Amino acid sequence: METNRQHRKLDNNNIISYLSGKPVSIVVSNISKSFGSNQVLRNLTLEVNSSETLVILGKSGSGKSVLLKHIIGLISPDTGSIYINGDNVTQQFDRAKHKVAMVFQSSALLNSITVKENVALYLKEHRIISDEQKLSSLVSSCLSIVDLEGKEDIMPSNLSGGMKKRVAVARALMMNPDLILFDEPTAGLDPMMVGNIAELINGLKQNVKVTQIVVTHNVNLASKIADRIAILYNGKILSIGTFDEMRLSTEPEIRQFFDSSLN
Amino acid sequence: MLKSINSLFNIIGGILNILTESIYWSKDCIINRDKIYFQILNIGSNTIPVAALISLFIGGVLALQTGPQLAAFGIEENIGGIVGLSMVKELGPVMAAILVAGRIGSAMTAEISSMTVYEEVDALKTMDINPVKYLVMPRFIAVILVMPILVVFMDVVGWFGGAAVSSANQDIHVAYSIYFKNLKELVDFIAVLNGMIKSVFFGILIITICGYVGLSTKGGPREIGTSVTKAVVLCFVSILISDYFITRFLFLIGLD
Repeated sequence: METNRQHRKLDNNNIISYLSGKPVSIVVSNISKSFGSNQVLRNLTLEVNSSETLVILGKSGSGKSVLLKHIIGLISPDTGSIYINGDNVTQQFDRAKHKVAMVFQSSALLNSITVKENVALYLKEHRIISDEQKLSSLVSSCLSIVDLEGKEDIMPSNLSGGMKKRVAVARALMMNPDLILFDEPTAGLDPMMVGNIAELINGLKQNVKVTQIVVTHNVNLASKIADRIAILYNGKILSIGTFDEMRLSTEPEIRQFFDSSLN
Repeated sequence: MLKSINSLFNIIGGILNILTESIYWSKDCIINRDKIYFQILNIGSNTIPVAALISLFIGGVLALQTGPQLAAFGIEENIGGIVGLSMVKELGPVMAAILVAGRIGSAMTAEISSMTVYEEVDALKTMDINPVKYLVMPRFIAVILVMPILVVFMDVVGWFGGAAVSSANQDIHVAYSIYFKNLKELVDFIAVLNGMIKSVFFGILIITICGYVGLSTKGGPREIGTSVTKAVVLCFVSILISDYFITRFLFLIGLD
């Protein structure tokens, strides 16, 4: 029922007409990455289908965030390749062609500008919408999706951690992305807000068909949003499948992970 | 040893990279005029009061040091020219650069390095917003516009500081009219231009060094402080070393 409410909210909003997620598929092929003597990713291979929500589960320090930063082109792998819709983006990431947004674990809002300016930053800097009134209306719509109506003029430093995360989601949506990467979207949030974030991710999946990769160690969140779950262990994808397939897996590493998370 | 040389070349390369990117993105300066205007006000409001204070005393101490020596030879009426030329050619631009590096450069490095550490710069990159264009270019343009004005302001205040001391000090005792008459005879537009060119060069140096250090910060919050110290020291050393070479260059092209 809550989910339906969120979907209605997305349907009723003019942001939905703005978002037009195009089908995007990703292939991560045999990538390895080391920082000094610490090898974080080891010949990791992963395929993400278009319009699916893939959850990458893994313990802290397993390389989840590093993997996301590879996919969005912030880090280049030592070896291996990354393809978005067949284009090799390993060394040169064409951000105009591949619109990939990321919600950072730390939210990464620009602290010197207001919430509204943060959300509108992409559109303003790229001069996509020059009409100030139209821009304000779109920002307000976007903020209402994340339950932050009326917070336009607040500085990020005056927001709680959960609110910052929701502003970061709104900022990502304003890019009209084809792919959204969520890095620990529920870290530091209360259970109710975890539910809201899950509804938002499901709403985007159903209404906009945007491809989403969510990195988390929250099995509860994964159960609510995942089309498929990939288990990242020791720098490699240990297994990939639906939530039930993972939950019922007998492999000790996966079992251990689920048992410890669900207890 | 080899590692230090390699690191030095890395720093120089990084600074030159920021410089070329800043020059390239200056093509968007009209579109970003609001940010540039904000930076101009920021540099002005943060430096003008201190600039007035230090240049007043620099002018005063110049007169205090040289005046009695000149008076001993009975040529104290030349004090206006000596203070005037010292201010416009050397002390004005160098002290303005030191002040801007300390007040503006340190704040800029702290802001950008904190944005780097807290992934804000990464967020800009994911939005296809060039960090140099967004964070460095407005300051780059602003400092080019503000530095010559700041230097002329410091020169004038310094002249008055020198005039006040020359007039009030019993060992010098040169009237304002004589002081400024001599100053007018010796300080020409070329001398003032000399200082203004130097100041623009120093301003560019400060912004590119601080931009480079801020954007290349790695690690946690502790590194922010380290980056600020590194940027300010690099600025001071670069200003004082490059001062010799730019002075030599200005001599060579006849702007002396």
